[in-house]
Amino acid sequence: MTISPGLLSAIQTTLTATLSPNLTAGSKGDDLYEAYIWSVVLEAARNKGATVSFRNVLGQPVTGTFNFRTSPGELWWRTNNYCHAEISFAGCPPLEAHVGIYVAGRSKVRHECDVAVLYKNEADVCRSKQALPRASKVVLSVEAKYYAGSTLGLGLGRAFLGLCNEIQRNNRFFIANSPSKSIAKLLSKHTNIGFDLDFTPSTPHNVDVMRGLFEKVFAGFIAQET
Amino acid sequence: MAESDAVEAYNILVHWLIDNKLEWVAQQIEEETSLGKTEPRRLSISDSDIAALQRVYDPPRIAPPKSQSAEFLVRVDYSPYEKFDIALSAIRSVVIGAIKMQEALANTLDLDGQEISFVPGETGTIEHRYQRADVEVRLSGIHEAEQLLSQLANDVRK
Repeated sequence: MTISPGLLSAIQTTLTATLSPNLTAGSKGDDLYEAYIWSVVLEAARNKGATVSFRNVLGQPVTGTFNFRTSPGELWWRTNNYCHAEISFAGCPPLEAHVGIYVAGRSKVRHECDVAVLYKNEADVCRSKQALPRASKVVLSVEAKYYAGSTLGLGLGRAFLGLCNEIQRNNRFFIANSPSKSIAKLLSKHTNIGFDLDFTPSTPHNVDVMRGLFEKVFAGFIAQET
Repeated sequence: MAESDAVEAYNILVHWLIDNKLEWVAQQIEEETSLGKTEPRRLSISDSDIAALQRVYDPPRIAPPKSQSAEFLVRVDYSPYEKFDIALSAIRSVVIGAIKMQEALANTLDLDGQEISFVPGETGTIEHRYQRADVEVRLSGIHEAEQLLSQLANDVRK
């Protein structure tokens, strides 16, 4: 027996005291993971000189509560007054960053984007007309997969590639917290797709690399729009 | 180094997850550990194997393999140490990672007295919420938890 006496019970006590309620909720952590990735996208925008403000669905600054979706929804839904970020680069049309919204694919089918950055004027039209944002107006999107102890199935990677065909091929990212050799092999053959399958705050280098890729997208956007 | 320590530590971690309403994490761990891993292995094919294959079909439809050995992908059980590593990394990723993600999101939003809530759909009610003060309390806990889990990983491999 080499495990120090009392260590296992100390671990159980400590973990129980730190347990976050989001993990035992119905969303099983996905929602926080998506919001976390959204925050990294916003850091990237700020690093490229953007001003970021937080607004609710009515366009008002968020004051008391930042509401995030636990499941995908329409951008215009008002009941829970979800928040989004408004991203402004000097001399460029403003953008918005959302978590868990539906967009319209090329084949006019509704698709979910776990994180999406799109033109603000597109979002404004969609809010007022209750329409789905067009994929062509999405500047950056992320497919997020939050799995705990299991390897991601290859089907998830294939589904993502199908989604990329539907929602523009460039600036699409696949981010997960669970390494999968088969998905890495599959996605690595598609040079226009950014991916990281070990993306968590506990792997800060990976987060730095992905933030850099997001920055590159924003740099391209600035170059095109100015 | 005793395999029994790895088995005991694995069981304790998985049971802790189940006891704390994290069955979904425990389930994913057990699915992964049951599934096993794959590794390439060169397998030799004997004349009797070829003869057995030929007997499956009548008339024979299988051409005899050209080579008497070939590389296959085979399923292999995880060792008790690997199973322990899977459970440990799941707890690090989910339980500890969640607090770090909450902190990062709070920092991005410059949270100061406000609240972050997660709400399902158009008609749902708040599923969970937190303020910066909640994160700060949990952050001090996860530093201790990380140290204890590192010690456990070392003890299991002693």
